[in-house]
Amino acid sequence: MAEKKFKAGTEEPEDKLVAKAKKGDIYSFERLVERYQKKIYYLAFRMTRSHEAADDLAQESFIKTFYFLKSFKEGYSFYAWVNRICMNLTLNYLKRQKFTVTESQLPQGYLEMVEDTGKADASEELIRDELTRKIENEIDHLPAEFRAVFILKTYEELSYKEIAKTLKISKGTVMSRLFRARERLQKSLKGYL
Amino acid sequence: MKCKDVDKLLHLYFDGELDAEKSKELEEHFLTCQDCAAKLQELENLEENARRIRMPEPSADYWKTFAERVRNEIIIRRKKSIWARLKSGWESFFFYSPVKLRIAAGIATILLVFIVGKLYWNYKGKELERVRSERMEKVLSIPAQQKPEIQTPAVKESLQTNKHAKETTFVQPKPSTVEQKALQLSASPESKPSEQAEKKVELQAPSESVISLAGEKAQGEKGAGESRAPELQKSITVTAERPKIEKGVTANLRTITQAEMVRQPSILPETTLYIPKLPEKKPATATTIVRAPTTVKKDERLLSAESIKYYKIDTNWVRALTEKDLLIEADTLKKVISSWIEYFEKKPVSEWAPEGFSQVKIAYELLFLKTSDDTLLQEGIKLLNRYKDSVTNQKTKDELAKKILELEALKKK
Repeated sequence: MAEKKFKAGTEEPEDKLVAKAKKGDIYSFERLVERYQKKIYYLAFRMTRSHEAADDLAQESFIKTFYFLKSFKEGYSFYAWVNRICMNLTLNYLKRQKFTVTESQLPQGYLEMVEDTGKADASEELIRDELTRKIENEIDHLPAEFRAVFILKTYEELSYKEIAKTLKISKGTVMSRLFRARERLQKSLKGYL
Repeated sequence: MKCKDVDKLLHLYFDGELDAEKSKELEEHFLTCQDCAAKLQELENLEENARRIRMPEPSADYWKTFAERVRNEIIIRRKKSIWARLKSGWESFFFYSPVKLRIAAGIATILLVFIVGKLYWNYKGKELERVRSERMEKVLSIPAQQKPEIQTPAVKESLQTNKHAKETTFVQPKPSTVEQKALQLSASPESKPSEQAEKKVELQAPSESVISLAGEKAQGEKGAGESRAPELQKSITVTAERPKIEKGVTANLRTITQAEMVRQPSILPETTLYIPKLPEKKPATATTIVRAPTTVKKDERLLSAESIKYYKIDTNWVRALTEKDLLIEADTLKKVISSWIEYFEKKPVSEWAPEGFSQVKIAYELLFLKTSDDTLLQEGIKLLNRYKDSVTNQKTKDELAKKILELEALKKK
């Protein structure tokens, strides 16, 4: 009944869904998952470059979030909380896997999966594709800690303070890691940028 | 603003972490400095291109079922028993994790240190115990090795089998006149058999030191005693035990005394025996003083024991003092004095041992040197004067007078 009720209903405010989920309402929590599943999945994917790993990590992040929901303080961002859990799980996973992805490891037809958003002419698009692939490859080769900071800043657009909180490191460390990550990328992409 | 300063703030500006004032300063600088503007541009290009990285798009079904799969997984896990949760927790503990590894390594190190320490301690303890027992065996074996041969069957019989006693027999080369008299007394055929049997000179009591004139015990009959007397007079059986250590004696002295007592039998031949002249009818149990050995065989382990001597006054062992014993405690000195006073009070004047006077005098001297108390010296002088008046022997009187003079001289000093 509850399921039907939620499915039929319109967008419920996040804080209400969280409050219900905290009381054990798993269907309210499902709504929250639906809301943030893509963002969490892509965060995990950017870090691991593996669909299977990203799928597992994203699911595990939500499951953990549900179990620790009682310690979640109302008024805070639910997504920031899931994001933090996901990033910690991903970093632990990478430490276990010593995960590094090379271009050859990427799934075949990977680029075909991506929507074509380019509007420039063919030759310019080719150059851009090459640069993007190069950047992607270089990001993948960054140490996990550097990559995490870079991803959280560039794609999640978090502030230094938020990144520091997510990764449980100091603001100074965030600045240092971000600077080094960018420096490495700039160095390896010299001539392209 | 200089380019050097801009370099430091460039990333902060780019990430929007600078305040408005600083941001404005940087923007003004970018208008004038092409190099810094190029650096900013480079950062912008990097971010723009990084954002253009295309992500694989899983199928629509995947997204439709994602939340449902999460829900199902939660429900499944909820249904898991507590035991299963505990088990999974236990298993997850063994997943590789640097933190876990460090904790485990730490615990393992502590355990290892504890075990090794314990083993070493046990080993060392046993080693020490072994060394100690070896030393003790050596010390205990000295008297046994040095035990002289028993010369007559009568003497052999007289060896006592007291398990607490250390025994030895030695041959007295030439008994002093006093001793000869005592032996004659003991060997007298006129004495009753029962008395004769008890005619060993005993020093019994806390310390249970026994000095017996061997052979006398063997005299079961009158005639036999007469015939064996000359031969038996030459041997004396000494049974000595460790004296009881009295309170107030320091730990160091205690150790030395014990060791010395263990070795006593081997050095007893030099013992001087004081036996008073007794009426014929009295049993010969009146030995009053035994001076402990004046020389002690050198032993590296017990080097400090060389100078320590004791007087046996009836049942008490009293420290023998010399003028050099400046380190002896006042309590010990007082005890020596009181023991001798007790001895003089107990015994008739005719039995007084002259050494007691010397000991009292030295004790008072040492006490005075320790405490600088005139009254003590005065007390000593008074005591010796009393003894001087009591004694009848002129030689002893002169000696006492000399001692009194010495004490008075010290007092004047």
